[in-house]
Amino acid sequence: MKVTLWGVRGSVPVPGPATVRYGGNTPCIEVVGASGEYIILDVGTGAHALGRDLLSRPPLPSPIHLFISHTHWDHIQGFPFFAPCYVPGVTVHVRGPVHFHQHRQLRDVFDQQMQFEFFPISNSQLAATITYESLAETSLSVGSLTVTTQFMNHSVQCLGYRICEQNRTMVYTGDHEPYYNVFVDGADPLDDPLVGDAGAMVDRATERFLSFLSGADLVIIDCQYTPTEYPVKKRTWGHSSWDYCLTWMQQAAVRCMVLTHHDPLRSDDALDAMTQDIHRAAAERGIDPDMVLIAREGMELSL
Amino acid sequence: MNNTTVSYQTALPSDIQAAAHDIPSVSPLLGKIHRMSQEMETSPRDMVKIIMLDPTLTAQVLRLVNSSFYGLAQRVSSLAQAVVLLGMNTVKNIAVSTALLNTMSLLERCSPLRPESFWRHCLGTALACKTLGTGQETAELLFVAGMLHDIGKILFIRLDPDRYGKAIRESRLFGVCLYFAEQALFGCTHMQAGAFLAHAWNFDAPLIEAIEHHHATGSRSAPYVAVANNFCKESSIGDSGNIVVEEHAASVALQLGLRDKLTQQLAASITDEIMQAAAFLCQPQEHSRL
Repeated sequence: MKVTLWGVRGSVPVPGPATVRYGGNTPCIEVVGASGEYIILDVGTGAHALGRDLLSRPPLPSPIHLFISHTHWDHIQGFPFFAPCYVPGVTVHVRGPVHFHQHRQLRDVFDQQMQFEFFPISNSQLAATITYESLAETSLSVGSLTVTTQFMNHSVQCLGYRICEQNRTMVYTGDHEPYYNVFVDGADPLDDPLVGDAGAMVDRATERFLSFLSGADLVIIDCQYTPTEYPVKKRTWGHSSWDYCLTWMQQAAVRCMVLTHHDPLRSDDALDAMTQDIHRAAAERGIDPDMVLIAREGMELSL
Repeated sequence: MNNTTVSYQTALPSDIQAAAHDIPSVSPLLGKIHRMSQEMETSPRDMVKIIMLDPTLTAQVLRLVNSSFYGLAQRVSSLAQAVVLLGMNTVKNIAVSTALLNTMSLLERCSPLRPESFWRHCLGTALACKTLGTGQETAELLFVAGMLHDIGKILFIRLDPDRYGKAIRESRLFGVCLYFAEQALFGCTHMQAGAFLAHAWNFDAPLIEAIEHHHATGSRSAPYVAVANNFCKESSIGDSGNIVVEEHAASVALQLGLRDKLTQQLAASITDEIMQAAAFLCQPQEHSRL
């Protein structure tokens, strides 16, 4: 498996002098299997450059398997700008979760962002053959790759993807916040059964999350915040901080972790400084700092 | 309890009184839950505790949370657990929609009225009431009063749908308000029957009064319901069976200073909100991969 990062920024694209080194595009990850299976995880604005790159090195892969972690803007906004969608003969399979709102299917959400008020070309005018499939927790095959999904903890239905090829495994979490007990606010657990009840579910859900990461060679994980930002200021916003990521890395015996979905306000210099903090903390915990990478546009990883 | 309501317990025909015992109750928390959906500051604890006050609603929420739509691999057995896994907004959204749709289940045998059109009329009136009463302490009550103002019609329909169909046809033929035909064919009006039902469900006196007087100028909440009811008819939002727009509603709106609020924009926003709620009427479509 060869993995390339085309977008590493969370929330909103932030091009400019402060983000030239790590990149300002929103999430898009290219995964190519040993037999040429072609997968893209999320189509944030990074998908624009990826599409252009694919056109420059024909033939275009087909089918393209597009797996969406969730349908927030920063994860789908590159789709109308993804050039292979305009090429006849190319097939794009779009799969991802939908929220329980107005009974819309995945196709409806993609149609909506290409309505004429927002974009000059409608979804149905795209020349490629595009299929849509709404996913929940499942497992499916893409050639020799096995893709397994699991719900993450985010403000909308969000799926993480675990991709296995023979004895190699990578996981992409999409957006994920540590499960936490919303009922702990100074109340005495003995007086409030809600606290204990929710706490037990937090434990079970966390355990399940860890088993999803378990033993992976590579985990690309949401790490929008620093420990000083989360949980104090950013709880309920749906993202993780690097201290949690390091803990999970150890608990789930993950070989290499790539921290991504950088906060849009985090400049290149700030990311450099954060890297030093992370590597120092990793070393203190007995984790090889070289195995904790800060995502950067253009980063390539081979499994 | 309000004195005018007491009289209906004796005056109502016995077959109407008997039919009232067969009708499942609407959640008394409808108003509280709907208000909660409009507020940003409700704490997770308060939200869960409000929903838990209604065991039927709690069970319905959990059934949906555990349905194939969410495809959760782990079973969720409490609201607290659901909040951890799905988040507060999702759980709140499910509870509000479910509580509203429970009113729909009352209408299953609603011929000769089309159940969905009737439900749209009720929800439309509720939303109009809420908007007209914005800023008032009784806004929560107004929403429920709007939702349930025509509940008496359910009694008639359950008792004898054919006779109620005749009432609708005759009122249209003669161009009179439906309640005149109800009085002639059932021996009482839907306002009286509704007030009786609300009393049987132990609703508060102001709510009973609003149901009872929603076609009169009345006092307190009733005039708001009258104005909202007519506004929905004029704006073609749903169908109550009664097509007559009552002239006195316009003067009531003027007296209450509500006329400027009765705009096309209000009708559009109500229609939009009904569409969102109506989406929950359909069963979730099964995913191909669960």
